[in-house]
Amino acid sequence: MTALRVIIALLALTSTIAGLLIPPPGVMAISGMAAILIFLLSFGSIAADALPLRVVPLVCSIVTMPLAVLVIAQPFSIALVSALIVMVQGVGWWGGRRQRLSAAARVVQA
Amino acid sequence: MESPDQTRLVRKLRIALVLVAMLVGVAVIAVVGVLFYWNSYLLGSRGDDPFKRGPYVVGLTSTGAELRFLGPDPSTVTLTALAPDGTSVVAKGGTFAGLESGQRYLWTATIDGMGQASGSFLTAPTDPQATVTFGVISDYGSGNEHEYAVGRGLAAINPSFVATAGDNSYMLALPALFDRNIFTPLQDVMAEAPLMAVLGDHDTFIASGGEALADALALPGGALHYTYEYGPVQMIALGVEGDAKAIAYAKAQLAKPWPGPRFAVMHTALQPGDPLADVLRGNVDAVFSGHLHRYERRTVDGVLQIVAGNGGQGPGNVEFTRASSDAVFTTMDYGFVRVIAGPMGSTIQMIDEAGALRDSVTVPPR
Repeated sequence: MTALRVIIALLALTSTIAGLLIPPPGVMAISGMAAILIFLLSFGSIAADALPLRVVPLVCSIVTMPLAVLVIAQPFSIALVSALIVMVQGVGWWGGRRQRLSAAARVVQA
Repeated sequence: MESPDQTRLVRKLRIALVLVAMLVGVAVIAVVGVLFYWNSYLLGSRGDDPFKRGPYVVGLTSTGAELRFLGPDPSTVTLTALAPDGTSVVAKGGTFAGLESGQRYLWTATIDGMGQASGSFLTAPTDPQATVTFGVISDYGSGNEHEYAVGRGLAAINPSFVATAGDNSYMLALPALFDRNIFTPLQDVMAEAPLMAVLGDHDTFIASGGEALADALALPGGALHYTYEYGPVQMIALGVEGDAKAIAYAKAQLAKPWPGPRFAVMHTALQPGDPLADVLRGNVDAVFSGHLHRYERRTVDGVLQIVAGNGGQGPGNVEFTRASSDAVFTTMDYGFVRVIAGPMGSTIQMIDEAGALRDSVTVPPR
């Protein structure tokens, strides 16, 4: 579901910018909240990509969940992990689009 | 080929699935949040302290003392007791033997030669004319700031032991809660005095709770019916309420002569017409109870009844915390009872969490 992926990407982008501009622990007010929302939305995203099955987007949605936890747990740079979440959403969107295009091509051939 | 209606239905089902999945996410976040809060704030941590619990005193006689602890491998811990005359004794299996009576010993727990915990205890006197100071609390095991205040006050009076009249752990006597509700708030006083606890109704909501508590505090009789003697003072624990078992136990114990100060401890207070009062009248100096979350002093059928239910949990509903109409003194303010028992009688005082003496009564020798 593209809408969820866009929201997750926007939240992760906000977290990335916050991570670059605000020093800890103040950054957690934004990044922590964004990560909780991303974690929550990733449940919906996984469900949306599982039915019907879209492998690449599903993998990206699953990967998003632990990345959101990493933003909260802060073992690595918040900005880095948040940027990774943005990238993963991009890959998920690309994977979904590719699958839709190939499905449309099959319908045209048929 | 799907019809437009089918496509719409599939879309709606898919959105519903997404929403359900996100609800699951909310539930996961809620559970993780509760577990995090529980682990970080409710159960807490003692930082770098190698001891997860204690060391705490569980028994004192005229010649011995027993300490317990949780955390480090017992084989790595050395417990040493230092007497006022400079002699020292090393504990074996947490037990000190061969001590002098009526002496305050400094104990130290060392690991690899480094002192990690200390306290002191007063061995029971053998002199029947000795004066003994002890504390009484009840309905305290909440882990809140009032209990900590009460615990600090208790430690400051240097009691020889502390009797508790039940409800040692709220809301349940779960072993996972013992540190939060008992051992941490009362850490200072438990480093010098054993807790002679009686079970309350909250301690017995789950069958294993009382047993676990009795085991943790090394109490006999399942912390219900037992007798504790410290020098000239005798405490008779009568359990949660004055039922047939309590009456039978009280009769059996009171049949044995005891010339010194003698007290009964029971969770629920005596009420007028209580058959137990007939057994206790003239045979004990006072009965200590709780259940009612107040401090109260009253006389019930000729028995001095001290309710020490203001130990920390506090009044939940004022409706159920009403003062007894015949109370000589009653208050809902938090505090503890100090008893100074000697050959000239026993002075029973209520000291509030702010350190003020709120009530005092002297009981002549029986």
